[in-house]
Amino acid sequence: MRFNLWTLLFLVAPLAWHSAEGHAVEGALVEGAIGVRFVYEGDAPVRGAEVQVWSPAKDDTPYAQGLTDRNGGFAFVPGTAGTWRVEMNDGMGHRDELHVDVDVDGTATAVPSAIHSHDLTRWLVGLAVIFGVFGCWALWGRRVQAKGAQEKS
Amino acid sequence: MHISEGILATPLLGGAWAAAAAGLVYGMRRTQPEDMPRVALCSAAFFVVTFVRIPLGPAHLHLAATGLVGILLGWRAFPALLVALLLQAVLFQFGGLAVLGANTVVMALPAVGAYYLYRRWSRSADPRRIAVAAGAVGALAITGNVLIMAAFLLLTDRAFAVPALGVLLFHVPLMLVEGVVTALAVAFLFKVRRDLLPNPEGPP
Repeated sequence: MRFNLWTLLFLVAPLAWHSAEGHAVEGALVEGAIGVRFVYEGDAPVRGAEVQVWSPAKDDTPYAQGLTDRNGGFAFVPGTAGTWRVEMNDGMGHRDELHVDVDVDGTATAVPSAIHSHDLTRWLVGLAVIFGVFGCWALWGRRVQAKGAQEKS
Repeated sequence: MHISEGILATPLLGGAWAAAAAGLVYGMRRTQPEDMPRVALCSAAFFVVTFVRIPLGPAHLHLAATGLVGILLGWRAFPALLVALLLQAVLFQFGGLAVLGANTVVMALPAVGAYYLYRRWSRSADPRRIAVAAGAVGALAITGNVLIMAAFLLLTDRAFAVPALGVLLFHVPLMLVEGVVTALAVAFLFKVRRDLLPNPEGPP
């Protein structure tokens, strides 16, 4: 009986060791991580916004996803060279998209965000279009009115 | 206060587009050429004022002025706000093109409600009563905006219940700010250009 117990222990011990090793987790610093940061106009950080990272392979699912930290930051480790797309959505109507070009040696260059820059040109274009649209509408309406009056007389 | 692209269910987007189109057609039919400067000005004001951000905790609130736009335009708020929202979507990626119909309904429907409420509550020659009525209408318009947005979210997925309630509570300070802004603006117009405000005794 004693012999059998020792035999059993001898057989089970490697399995238990393997099982413990399978659940062990180890963290380590990695180099080449890319950090991005999203801010509102005025440099206020976009906190807790949803971020999706899309790889150059154009997969159907995002390579990474999560939330921005309290400073509006988010980091990921790109697996391959190419243009990586980082999308941010704060759920309150603010979206931003950042393109990050990663070289073979891991050097990253961010293409400046085209969405966030609320430049004066866009404001002026917006206002000009608004007044243009309603101005044209008014002219057209007057023409229709004048035509109607002409037909009546 | 824009609904982002990719959140709402497709049938809801279609329904919202149908409602927005109906409001747009009705608003266009009620718009005369001489109304255009006012419509354009309100559309431009909405386009600009929604970029005014009020920092509140970790996020920001945006002014909307839908109450004031509604009081001044009535059903014409639909074309005015649709054009402004379209430009915000195209130029600044606020909201989106697919969700433009929903955002138009969110903004313009309470604006039309604000018009009728103001007509009902402004049967007075006392400027203070007019200002109070306008303030209440301005606050209620924002409440309407948030409630319709919350309804859209809830109709898409019940899981949005908590975020929708959060959005509602988060906008309570904005309701107060909008109420004050609308009251001041209408009180000023009542003093200098009363003809721009709807006549409670006239046809709707």
